[in-house]
Amino acid sequence: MFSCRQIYDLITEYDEGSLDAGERRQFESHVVICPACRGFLSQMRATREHLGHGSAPEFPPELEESIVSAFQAWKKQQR
Amino acid sequence: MSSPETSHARGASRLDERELLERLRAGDEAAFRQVLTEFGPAMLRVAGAFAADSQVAAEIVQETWIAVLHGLEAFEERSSLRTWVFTILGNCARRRAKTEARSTPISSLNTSGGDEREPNGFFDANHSRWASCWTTINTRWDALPEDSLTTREAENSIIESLRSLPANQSAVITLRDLEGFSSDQVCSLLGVSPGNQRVLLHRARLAIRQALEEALD
Repeated sequence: MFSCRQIYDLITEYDEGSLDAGERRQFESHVVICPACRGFLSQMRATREHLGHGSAPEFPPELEESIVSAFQAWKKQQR
Repeated sequence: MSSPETSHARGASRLDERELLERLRAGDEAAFRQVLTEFGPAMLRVAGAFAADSQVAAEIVQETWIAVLHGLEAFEERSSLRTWVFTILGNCARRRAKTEARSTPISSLNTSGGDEREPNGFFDANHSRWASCWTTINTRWDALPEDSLTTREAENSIIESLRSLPANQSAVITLRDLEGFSSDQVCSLLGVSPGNQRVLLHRARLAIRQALEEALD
């Protein structure tokens, strides 16, 4: 069975579904009996979830206008 | 997490997208502004993962849109508009990275991105009883008060941690976890192998988790 240190290294591989069947079984067998690794797995997933809820930075109005100007120039070229 | 291809919240359906493309090709400025509003902030965030500063990130975004406009007629719609635009962004950012100082030389995208130190928190591999076990129990964060992870301190620690990541880790985690691209898409956008992408993602998530833990303490 994997050690805690191995679980630490393999958490993302596990969540990405890239472990083979044997490794996956070993991973799950360890986590089911190890509260420390269950806690760590849950923290890594909470981190991922939390990142997904963050909002993107504000788009600078001057950049927007500069890009729209490029669009207008492109449009003229198209004619 | 849903991918950009499937997320309804992230944009119009493919049918609507075809109409949008027709409007863009016809030079409809309102349609262009709509797409710019939808994609722009995420593009800036992804460009920021490669760039030395916000000015360079803005230039990468501008350069991308110019390339998008010039490629619009030839775009064959084999992917969504969003994926196509971000592929061009990835190409622009990688090209730019070759000539910028911070940067992410393409060769370095295929490395793990530094910081391969042994993690703290484990007993030694030769320990008589607890070899390679955690020295402390990790608690589940979902047992904490609901807003623990959303305090200003936690948010700031994430922002700082993202900034301090090696550029290749930052690019991968931004695309995967902040913008919701799939692993295949990220490999294609960044030109990295699936295995390397997972290593970069793992190291980046470990770093952000660590920063959050410190903010929660």
